[in-house]
Amino acid sequence: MSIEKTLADLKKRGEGALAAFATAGDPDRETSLDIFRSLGAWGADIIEIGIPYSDPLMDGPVLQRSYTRALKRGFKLDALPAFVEEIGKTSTAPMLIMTCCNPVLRYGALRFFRDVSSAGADSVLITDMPPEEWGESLDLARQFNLGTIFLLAPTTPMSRMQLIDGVSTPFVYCVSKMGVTGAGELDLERLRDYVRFVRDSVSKPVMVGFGISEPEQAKAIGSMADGVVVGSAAVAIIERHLDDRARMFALLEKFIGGLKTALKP
Amino acid sequence: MIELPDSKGHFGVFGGRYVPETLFSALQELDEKYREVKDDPEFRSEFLYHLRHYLGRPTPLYLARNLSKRVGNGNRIYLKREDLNHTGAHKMNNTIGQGLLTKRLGKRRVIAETGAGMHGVATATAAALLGLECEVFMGEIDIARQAPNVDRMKMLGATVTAAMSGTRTLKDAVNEAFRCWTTNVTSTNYIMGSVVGPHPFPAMVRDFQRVIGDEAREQILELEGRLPDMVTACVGGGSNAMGIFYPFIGDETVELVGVEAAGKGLDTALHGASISRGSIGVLHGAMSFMLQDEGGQVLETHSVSAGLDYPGVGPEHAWLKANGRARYESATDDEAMDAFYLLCREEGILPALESSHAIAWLLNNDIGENKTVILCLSGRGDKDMQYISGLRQSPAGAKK
Repeated sequence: MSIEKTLADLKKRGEGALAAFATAGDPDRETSLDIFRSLGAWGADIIEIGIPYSDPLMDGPVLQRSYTRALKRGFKLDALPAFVEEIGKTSTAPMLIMTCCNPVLRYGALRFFRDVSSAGADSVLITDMPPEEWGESLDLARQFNLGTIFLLAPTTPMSRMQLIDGVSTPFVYCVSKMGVTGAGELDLERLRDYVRFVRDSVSKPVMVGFGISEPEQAKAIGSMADGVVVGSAAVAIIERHLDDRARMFALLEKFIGGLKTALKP
Repeated sequence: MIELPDSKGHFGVFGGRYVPETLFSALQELDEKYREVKDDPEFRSEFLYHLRHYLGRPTPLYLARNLSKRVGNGNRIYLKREDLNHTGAHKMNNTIGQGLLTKRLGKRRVIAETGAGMHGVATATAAALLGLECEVFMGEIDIARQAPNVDRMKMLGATVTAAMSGTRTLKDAVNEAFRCWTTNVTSTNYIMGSVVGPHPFPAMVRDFQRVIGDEAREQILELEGRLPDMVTACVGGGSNAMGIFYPFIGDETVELVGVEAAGKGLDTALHGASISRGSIGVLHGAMSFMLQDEGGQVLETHSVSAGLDYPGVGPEHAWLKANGRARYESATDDEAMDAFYLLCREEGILPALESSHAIAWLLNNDIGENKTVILCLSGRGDKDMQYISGLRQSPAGAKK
């Protein structure tokens, strides 16, 4: 099922969507594959596949370290399409690829869109490529039937919100706070006002991410937006249990399940 | 000549603003403010006042007769003495400019990245002068190898924060500065140290540095009654080179030569030659040449000089390379070291190891006969003394 349809169905049921992020190839290809295949069963409605990069500008230390682990274990973007296809064989949750632009440019934008689309990905989010830099690539992605998701930040002025709303499909990714991915306090009161403002300003569904790690946060934000994205908190569980896979999986299941429960009416 | 970059910061395909959304509007604000003050007579006169009375500009254009003899063939080598600026390098031209701009933005705090520490010191100096709070990001490895500059920054009142991620050198200090800026963008201005990064940094830093070339052009016309045949400078990120090249771009008879760090050799993996050996990609918010692997991951670099130990280069240099207006050559660690000693022993000038690369290239290549050359001596070498003493290299290695 597509992300668009998934979000629409959940909305009808009054349920918040959960997008769960992990890094492709972290801590190694096989474990990573099993994690992605399980995320849907644990409760994630959308799977977000992060592409390792040596120099991410937007990511906090938890995701940086996960990229380093994956790269050390030999992650190659060339292997991504096969990886995505493998996930899709046993998982039905729609897949979103999140990446920095340089690996994609090196791979070739057209080739990248073609390959991940035919492997079964639904959408792409290139974190350091604002709409102004996409040019023809936007049409290329559309040609391959890929959604192009863009970030919207607390610093985004009103005029730009319309621009982003126009190009961001199937949803707008609303950044919860100033700063990089991961840790840091969320001021829920202020966040709710901000999310309400964004929701009322754009036409597309709104998913909120950055710094979400607790079911209460998911519940509060989920009631204002179409859903939440969780990333660093899940990756931190992977990182803390590199030597104990059984425990890693049990805790991930509990964590993802807890967030999903909180998003249900 | 078409004025570049365009309104979105592109030099042909190069440049641009490849940044996360959180930073986008801050860059727009910076760009708008910069364009507003750039030609404002009050801002100009404040900037020029500081260049003259605080930095000590204009810096001399000095005919280095002994070096010229070494280069031979009747060539005349002029040194543009940026080493004589306050704090010992060209970096201060830019930090004064961006520091004054920070005041116009109404921000009270600045952050910066630094490799060898010269830009960090220059930013800390401008911050002290202008009453701004200052935090400098520096790779953990560079903190260890450039200890005197770390002390200088602290004495000037700045906080020095170690970049612990990745290779723990300059590129990681840039990453950390961007991450910090993402979190504090409303209160803080980022003072970029070179002509790299997202628009408007490459154009803005160039504009603040072009004083080097403007002065040199006027001085050579006065001294020689004609334009030089060649202008050369070392290129890491490329700010001193861009500063001296820029006013000569329209002078088609003037050859522009950038000299990159060939480290242990261009055919090894240990160099910093982003143009000579790199490929097109996006690093730190701009499209340019960069050193990357086949998967688009950024490669580690090497140079004896920390200031050239960087996997990217400013987008306008990429543009000058692509359209053929400038050419880019290189010099190895050993060649730079020999050139360093030669300038010390024969001109009584202790050059920065970065600038020594440009000197080395002149010494080791046939540039023809009876040419007038301007070489940008971007900084002094005091910062490198401890490191060079540690190498215990004999001056006998210098070319005779």
